[in-house]
Amino acid sequence: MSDLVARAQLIMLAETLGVPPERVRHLERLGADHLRSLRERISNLLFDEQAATFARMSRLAPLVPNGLVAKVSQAIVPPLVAGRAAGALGVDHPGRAKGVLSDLSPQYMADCAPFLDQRTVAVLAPSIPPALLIPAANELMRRKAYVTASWFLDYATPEALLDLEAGIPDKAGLLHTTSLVQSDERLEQIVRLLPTERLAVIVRTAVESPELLMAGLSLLARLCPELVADLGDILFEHLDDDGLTEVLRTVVGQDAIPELLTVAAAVREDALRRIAADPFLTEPATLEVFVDAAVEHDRWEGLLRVAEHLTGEAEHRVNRAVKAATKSAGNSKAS
Amino acid sequence: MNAAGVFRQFSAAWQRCRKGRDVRDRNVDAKTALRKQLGPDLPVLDLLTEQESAELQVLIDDARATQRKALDASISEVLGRLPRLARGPARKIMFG
Repeated sequence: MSDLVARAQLIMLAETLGVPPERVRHLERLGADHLRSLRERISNLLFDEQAATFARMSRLAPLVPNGLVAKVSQAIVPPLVAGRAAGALGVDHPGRAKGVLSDLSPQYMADCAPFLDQRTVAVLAPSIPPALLIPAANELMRRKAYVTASWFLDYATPEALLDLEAGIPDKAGLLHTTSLVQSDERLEQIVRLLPTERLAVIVRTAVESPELLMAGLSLLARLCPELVADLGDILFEHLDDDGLTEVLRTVVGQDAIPELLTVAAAVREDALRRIAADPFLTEPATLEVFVDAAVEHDRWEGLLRVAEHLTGEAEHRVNRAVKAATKSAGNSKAS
Repeated sequence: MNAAGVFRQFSAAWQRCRKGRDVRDRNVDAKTALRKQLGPDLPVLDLLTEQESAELQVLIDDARATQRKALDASISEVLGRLPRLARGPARKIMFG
């Protein structure tokens, strides 16, 4: 599975540069952290070089009432400009941000969202009532603009996060969005903040499509073992036997075995027993790709936990593969 | 081959060599320029090839130009939409 977070950062880099993602696709190899630092510096450069213009625009504010700002902006100011200027103006006139936002259409806000200065969003976010942002967030979900939506999660206050979750009915969209949050630490904060029953609804959407499953596994694989166990159990309990087989087929087809093995290293016995008893998993070809993935990505713990519940030929196969891999690792260490 | 032919061949080879060097120099310059623009403390720049640095420099320059153009056009349009009484002071604020 390609790194979803790195791909999200790549899309954000492309948006910052105003080019299609294909133009910068070759930079995906840099990884999420490097792409983020590169994008942030470019974004800062673009904003900072217009700081003087934004400052002059800010001095215009007293001359123009909120209603007119909203009306004129939506009529003639392209989202690129409105998004770029909004942060600077909002920071200079925080008391007016609410008023202007409440006069803007959700569509226009969603258009402008990719162009906002994240530094100013961090400053402004706590003072904007979530009720003003929920329609725009729903518009982003409708457009499947999960990458843009994800970076708002970086700055939302705990109260705003709860309100946003409650106000967004598209739980599958929320799963996509949450899986793209860049920092593992922040992701964990968000997951811990949401009540279990509300998280369960989001996690269960993972079985609705292969893309959602990939988003769900990618998210789970980034959490601490305790949370993986809780959420992994919710996911596996939701699957009947055919559903589990389908999930395993998708995992193999989408090259997401390392993520599944990370989850397997943490989930409880019931889930492991069911995975080990799945007829697709116990096929020799499937076991082989699982062992290969464990070797390549060092995910032995998950594989060994599943193997404890294998029986018959499947158990022997995995044990033989584990012995061979251990021997080979020992040989390469010795040489 | 007569002397003129040898000279033409040598001249063409020299031009090819210079062209290659120019591209390389430009790329090296692009990497240095990128570091100058984005800051020296950005480890990701070490991971970019010369060619990638040059391409990224072009994309950044294009984005800056697009942004400047869009901003200038919008300011003119917005000023034209302001109430008549506000237009004079607004122009003064924006353009001095």
